[in-house]
Amino acid sequence: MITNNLSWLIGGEAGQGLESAGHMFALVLNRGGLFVITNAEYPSLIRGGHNYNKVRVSDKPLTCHTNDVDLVCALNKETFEKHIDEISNGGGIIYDSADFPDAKGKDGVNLFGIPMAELAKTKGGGIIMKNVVAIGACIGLLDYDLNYFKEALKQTFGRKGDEIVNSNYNAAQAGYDYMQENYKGKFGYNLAAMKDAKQRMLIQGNDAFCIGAIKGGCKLVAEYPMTPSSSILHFMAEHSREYNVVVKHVEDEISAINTIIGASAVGIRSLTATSGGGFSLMVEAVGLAGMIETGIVIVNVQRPGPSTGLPTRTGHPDLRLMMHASQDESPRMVVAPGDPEECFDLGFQAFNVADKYQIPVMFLSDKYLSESERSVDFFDTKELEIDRGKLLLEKDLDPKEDRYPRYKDSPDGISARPLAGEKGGIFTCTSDEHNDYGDIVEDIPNRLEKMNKRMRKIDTLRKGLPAPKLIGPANADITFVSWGSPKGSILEAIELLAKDDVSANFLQIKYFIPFHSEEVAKILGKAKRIVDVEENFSGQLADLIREKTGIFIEERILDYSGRPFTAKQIYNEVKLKTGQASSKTVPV
Amino acid sequence: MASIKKASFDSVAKPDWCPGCGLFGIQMAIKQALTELGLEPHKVFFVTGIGCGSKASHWVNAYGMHTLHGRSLPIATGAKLGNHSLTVIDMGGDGDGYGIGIGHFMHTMRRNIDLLYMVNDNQIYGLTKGQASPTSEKGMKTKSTPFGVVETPINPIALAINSGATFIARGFAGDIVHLKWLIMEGIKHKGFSLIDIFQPCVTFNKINTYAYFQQRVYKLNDDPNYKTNDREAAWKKAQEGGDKLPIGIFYQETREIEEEAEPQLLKQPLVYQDIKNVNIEPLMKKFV
Ligand SMILES: Cc1ncc(C[n+]2csc(CCOP(=O)(O)OP(=O)(O)O)c2C)c(N)n1
Ligand code: SF4
Ligand SMILES: [Mg+2]
Repeated sequence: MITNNLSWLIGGEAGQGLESAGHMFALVLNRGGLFVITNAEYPSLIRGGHNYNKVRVSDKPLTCHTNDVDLVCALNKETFEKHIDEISNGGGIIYDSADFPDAKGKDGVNLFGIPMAELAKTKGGGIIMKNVVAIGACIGLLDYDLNYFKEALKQTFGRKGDEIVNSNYNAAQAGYDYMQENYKGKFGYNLAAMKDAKQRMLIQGNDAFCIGAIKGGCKLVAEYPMTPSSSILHFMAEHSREYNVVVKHVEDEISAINTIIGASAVGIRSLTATSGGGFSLMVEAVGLAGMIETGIVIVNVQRPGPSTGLPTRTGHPDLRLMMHASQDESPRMVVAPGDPEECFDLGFQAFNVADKYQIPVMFLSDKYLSESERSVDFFDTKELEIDRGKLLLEKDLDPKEDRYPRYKDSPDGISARPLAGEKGGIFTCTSDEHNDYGDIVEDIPNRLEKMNKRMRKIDTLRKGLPAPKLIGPANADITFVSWGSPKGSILEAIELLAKDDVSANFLQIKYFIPFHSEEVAKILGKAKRIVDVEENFSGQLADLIREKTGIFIEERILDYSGRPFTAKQIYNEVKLKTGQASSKTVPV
Repeated sequence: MASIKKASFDSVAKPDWCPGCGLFGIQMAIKQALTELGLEPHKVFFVTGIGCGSKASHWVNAYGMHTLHGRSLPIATGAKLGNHSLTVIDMGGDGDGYGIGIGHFMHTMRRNIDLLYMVNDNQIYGLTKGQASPTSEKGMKTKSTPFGVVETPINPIALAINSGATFIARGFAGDIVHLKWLIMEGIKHKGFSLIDIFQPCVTFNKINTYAYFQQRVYKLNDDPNYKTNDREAAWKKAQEGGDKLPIGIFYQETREIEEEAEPQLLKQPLVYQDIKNVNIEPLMKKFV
């Protein structure tokens, strides 16, 4: 019997309640103190199509999903046909026996037919509760505690009254009982809640980011919906009144970024979120924020392009876009988290950096990270402090002065800025080149001074950020380099390699501007074999490393399929090339 | 208010507009209106787009923001949401507001945010040296239309009536006293105020000159029978053109403003709300 180590998949059409079923299944396991991680794959449509949600569960912390499947829960025929071949030896499939009266499986795969639709109709509240029967059945087959599921159903449907709650209970119980009666002892996997189960959140990257943003003092959100960033708009809107944040769904992305620039210019912390296409519309205003030295936070939850691309899939194609967007060169921070904890921490940090350094902060997430739910400990807020930098209030200003030299140069490049509305602080900001007061000035000494001052803030910021560090053993055989959500799969690949006595470590790059060139050069200069892992076509980080350090990384595992890396995929690629010369030609 | 010197909105730097440009009159009217309303410079936030007229924020002594071509309205909206205790005024050209920025223009009216938006409507692109604008008359020959404009011009007043603006007016840069009155009324109005301002561009628009307007403009609100709360009457007046050009307040109504619709703003402006002690425990609990 394999206990508490399972990969589960529920599949069906859009509109069959897959997302909520997958979420609930993950939630009931999370509440039992188990570690879960979810991953959903679906095309960009509202009804039909083939969709699935995966839940991986373990009694040890998990860092990534897997493509292995031990138990499939098929809500329609297509799921049965599409996934039967993926199921591991000894695994099984739960399906509606009415769909396949004489189903033929495959060797080593157990078939668990159950009249799902019929039970939903006769025992539950109708066909819409088929997914509830299905989850009840999974819990029954796995011998897990049904009460966790009932509790979750009560929470979800409690508002709709006892009748609805009870028919959900009955649907769940019917599924559970059917499996217990017909298949008890016939499946080699089970799940058991941990004793003294520790409370953890089950949280997605976008939600983790939003909590960081709220903690970071975000007061205004202006956004135009775009998958996979829209959940940021939804979360912030839902909690706007509780936390006094104004959330506007504005007319387009150009309006979104300019609205938050206006808000930041009068002293509040503000946010916009989008994906690559929407960000492309914001580009001109990134330069404005840089020029007038107004801090804003821009989230790009990446999806593959070009153009509309693969709207509901994942990837890391926009690193270069974010680094160079807008005419000429202007200061900014470009940062990317690798897991929900970093979405929170770096999300909080983004608002401090924007405010203190008076620059736009580009926060690069991706679809997988944004939607995948994970068991995460409560965020630690003890060390978090709001830093508003050189913000001048009435007491800091001389009310007799007509104007304030808001763009005056300073050794760190950061000028003090009065809060609009304060006496003695008057200044103009302008997208034209300007002098200390914000008057348009084109003379050469001022131009050079102001350009230098703005760009110097990047050096100042670099000193204020933690330098990248290796995760894992020093002097390893392999050093992985990557950014963003592949972090989790790389960490697990390192464990898989260790079982083969291959040692590996990992250099995660979180900051691209500013870039820690010296530290990265030092670490990679000592590495024996460097493997770059990225979800884009060319290896944008690897090329950046070459540009900044001179180190050319030849070995690149690049996946631009739109699906997230798995640990096995990385492991296999590395094993394949171990001891062989790479066939890749060196681009010069 | 006697305590405020008349000169307090005067800027240190001086305008670089062409001698005789209508923008001087507009700048004068703005400064006078702000002064007569008893506003203090540090409580005024003046946002502008990009164009000749958009440079005005440099030449009125107040907190100022000279931004991007066509984007001043979202920026002004953000500023007002961030600190609604400020008096936010905005100005841009006809290319700025009715061309590149027209999407924002329509949506800002719909939103009814409490700010004054002035368009220095010279029916030409001034700063880029004389191309046709969305309000250039049909047939007008410009650098970008050497054989004459073929499109029908935009009617900003009609557009505003249709888009839900709650204060809609037209002024003339050659009548500073009247324009000053309009600006004062526009600032006093609770909600979005539009003032489209006929502005002679002496360098690039040889058709719509001071003389052209002086012969044609008449004051709408001199007629005691004209009611500014009558949408249909306003719509009819907005269609007048050719030899008779009404100036004044076309339409005004009271409607809930954005700042009232958002309870987050009721207690105090966002900018003064504490951000140092946000408790996220309840949020995290929702994910258990
Ligand atoms: C995105 C963008 N496109 C084009 C320009 C160039 N440009 C500057 S001002 C202007 C038009 C000015 O006309 P208008 O808005 O009517 O203002 P005016 O100069 O007449 O006051 C243009 C096209 C720009 N600054 N930004
Ligand atoms: S070009 Fe026209 S609008 Fe611009 S300053 Fe000269 S006269 Fe005025
Ligand atoms: Mg113009």
